[in-house]
Amino acid sequence: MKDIIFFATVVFGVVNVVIALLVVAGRFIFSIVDRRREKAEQRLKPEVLAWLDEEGGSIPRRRLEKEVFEGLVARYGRALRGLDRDRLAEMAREQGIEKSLAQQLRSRKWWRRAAAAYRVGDIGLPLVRQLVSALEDENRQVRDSAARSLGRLGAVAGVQPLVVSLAHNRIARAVGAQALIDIGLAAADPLERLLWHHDESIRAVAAELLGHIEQGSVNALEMASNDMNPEVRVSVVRALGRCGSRTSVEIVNRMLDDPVPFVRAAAATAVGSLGTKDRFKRLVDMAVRDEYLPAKAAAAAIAVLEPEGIQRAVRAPGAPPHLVEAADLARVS
Amino acid sequence: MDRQTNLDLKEPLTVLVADDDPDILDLVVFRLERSGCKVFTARNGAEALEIMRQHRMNVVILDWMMPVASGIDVIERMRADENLAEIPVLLLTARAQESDVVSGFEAGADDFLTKPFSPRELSHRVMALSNRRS
Amino acid sequence: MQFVTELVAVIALVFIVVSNLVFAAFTLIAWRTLLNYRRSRESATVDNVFRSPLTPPVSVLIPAFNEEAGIVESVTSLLQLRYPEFEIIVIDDGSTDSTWGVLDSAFDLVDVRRVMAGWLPTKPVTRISVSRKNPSLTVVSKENGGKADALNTGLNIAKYPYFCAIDADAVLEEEALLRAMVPIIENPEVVATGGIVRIANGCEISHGRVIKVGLPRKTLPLFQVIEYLRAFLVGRVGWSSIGALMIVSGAFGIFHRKTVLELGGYWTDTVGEDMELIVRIHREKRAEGVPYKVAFVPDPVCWTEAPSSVRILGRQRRRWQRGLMEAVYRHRAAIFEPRQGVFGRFAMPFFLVIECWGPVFELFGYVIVPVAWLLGVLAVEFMIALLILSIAWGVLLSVAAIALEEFGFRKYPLRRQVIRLTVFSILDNFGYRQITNLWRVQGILQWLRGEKSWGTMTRQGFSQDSRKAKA
Repeated sequence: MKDIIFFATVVFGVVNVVIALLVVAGRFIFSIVDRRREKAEQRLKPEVLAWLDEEGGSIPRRRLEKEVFEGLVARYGRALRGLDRDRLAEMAREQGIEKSLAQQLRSRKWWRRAAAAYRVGDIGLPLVRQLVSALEDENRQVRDSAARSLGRLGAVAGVQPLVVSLAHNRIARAVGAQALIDIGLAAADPLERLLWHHDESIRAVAAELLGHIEQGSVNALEMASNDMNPEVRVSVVRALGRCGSRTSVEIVNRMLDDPVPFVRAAAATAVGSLGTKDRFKRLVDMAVRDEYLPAKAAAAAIAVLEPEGIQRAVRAPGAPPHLVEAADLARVS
Repeated sequence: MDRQTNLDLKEPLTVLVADDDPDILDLVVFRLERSGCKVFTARNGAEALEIMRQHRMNVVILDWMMPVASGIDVIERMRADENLAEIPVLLLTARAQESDVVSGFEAGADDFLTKPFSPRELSHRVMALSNRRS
Repeated sequence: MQFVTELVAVIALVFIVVSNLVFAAFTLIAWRTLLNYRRSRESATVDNVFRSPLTPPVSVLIPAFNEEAGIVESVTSLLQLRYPEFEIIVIDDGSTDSTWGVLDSAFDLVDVRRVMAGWLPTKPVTRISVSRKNPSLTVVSKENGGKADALNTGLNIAKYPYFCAIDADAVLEEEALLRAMVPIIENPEVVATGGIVRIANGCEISHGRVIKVGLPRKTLPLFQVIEYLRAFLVGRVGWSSIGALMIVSGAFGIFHRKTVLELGGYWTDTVGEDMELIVRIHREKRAEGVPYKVAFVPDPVCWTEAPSSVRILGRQRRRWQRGLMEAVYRHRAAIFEPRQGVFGRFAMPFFLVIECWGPVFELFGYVIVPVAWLLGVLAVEFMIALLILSIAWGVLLSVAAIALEEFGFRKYPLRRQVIRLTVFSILDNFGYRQITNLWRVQGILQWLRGEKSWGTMTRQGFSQDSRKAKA
């Protein structure tokens, strides 16, 4: 028994020394590689930038420099929009980066597929078909990267697949949503159809997104305002608060009477954004008598609609507490 | 071609661009220098103010979210300093919400560009801003 | 006599083997997790999260007691966080110094008469003010009630669906909040996430940001650096991967507000309120049969100052052990309750036996050897061998943690720092570990005696604009 213990101890001792040496050696190696990479970056930056004026040369051959070069192209692409980005994409295609990324999208290793999907969006290469099939990838990160890139490409053909992925929870909500917003108007129709999806959280997301896409679909939202599920109604009323048409004002006003408190609260906030005083009396009533959340929201809306009036109203003693709060907060911002 | 030249001014435009992201600096400096400007760079708000006090700037481009002093802080300090108050400022930022745009202009920015951005557009806007003030 | 010592020896052996085996398994898991994490950095979700309007807003809560030295720097640092929408609520827990005063000078506070929601019972609030310069900053002053009570007050006022509890002296990296929210964004079932806490001693901090990472000059904080690396990179990653992460650091954690409110908020009668909350979340959610997750993200960094004096460190460790005992004991019944899964059947027993009472066994081990030798008992060689094995194994775990840090993050830029870390990770088991063990046993004794106090942590704070943090 004792011998086993001693043997194990020796083994541990040896392993310790080996790991320690590996750590130190690894760091030495890493600093060298790191410095070479930095130097390569400094040297290659002007060459990549020259691509923006169609004056660049071709991609270097050696592995480290090629990696650094492509990384720079992707990083710059990420910050760019418009003609400059198109130039970058053109040069990238001419130099074979598009082909190499398309190939990487078929790699067996998920992290390579994910990185490639991400880069496609950065540089702006129109590999829409490949990205759409990447939305079906077995790996989560690949799917999210593909979604994000479809958004950055503004790919109208990607709208329907994105909406479906969102509906089936195959991609992160925030990522899919941003991609659809990036694509914009073309997403409006498919999203409207999602307002009838059987899953209430999907209906809520669809409503939310429609509020962010300009010239949203007021008619569809109007119908959805009668949804049975309160979470959906909240998203609808928030979206309507951003839309600002005459019809949406009517709907929002009506939703001030919703049976669920947090829906009423969202309606009050929307009334404030829309700037309509049609149901001002109702707002006052809510601020004085309603539950915590709707009362707070109604008071805040009143502060927006009647900034001077509310300050006068709260000067009297015994003023309703939510109004006082809203008035104080309005004075600070 | 696409090379812009300043035909209006006898000397090159002096522009300061402040951003903590070196890639943005690379892109802006590249385009502005190609357009014939003289460009200074800063990595944070404090550096930006220091450079402005030492050299006369025609236009200043500021990132919003920077360490030490944000773009908004810098604008406020510029407007409070009579030597710097008249310099046109362009806010270049990733913050794109409507409330952000409003806050930017309310603080005193003359123009607002969101990231991702087009360096060409930026350069045109810089020219426009400098013409407005001269 | 011989029988007794041999019995103790066997118990000690089992204890060492089990605890080290679990940590060895976690180390291997951590390798795989960090490898995947490194691979995923190239296609990270982070910039999307920043731009998306569907990213949930967060209320940042900072309980503060007598923090005049560093609170302004802390709040400044938080105001610079890269996150689309968030609010900051400082809860001044009845400070006797000028915490409120320094905040007022820096941020121009205006009193507002807010209506408090009564979700959770707390000590009375005396004053609420909002900053005119940064209206997203609210300062709540209240009667002293302890950290948990302060957090509960913050919860009563917070308006966003998620909240982030932060220590008043913590310095967050710019994207910390963003990265810590990623698990939640990818999976709304996640109700709590924690990030890694690193030691700020030796780092250069300016205007609320760490601009240069460095190692502490003194040895005590240096040992803590290694300890934290082991605890976070191995321990937390490991527990999180099997779905039983028991601790989300009080220094930096994000929670789903409604879930915490429904569970009744923080427990005010403990010094381990951060751990107790997580344990309660596990127990209640599993009892309900609702799918949920508690995640650890190895990247979003929170920098905190570590005690550099033996006296204060000892106090901290005794308090931590007490908090641990209180949290685990309160929920010990979970071991026998239905549907508790890996949390109830594995994590809780592990914590009860190994983390709570293990220090006692370890102390016995260190004490028994000389005693047995004095008594001339045969088993002594066996015991010595045992001791050496446990130390060698401990060294392996420490060195492996350094290797993980090197492999995954390389936060320390200079080569000599890496060498120093590696050397000390070996030395860590020859003295430091034993002292912390002693403190833990003292903590257990305090708990048995029913002691409740927090003690005072005197901190230097980050009082100047730019200086090296206390090394």
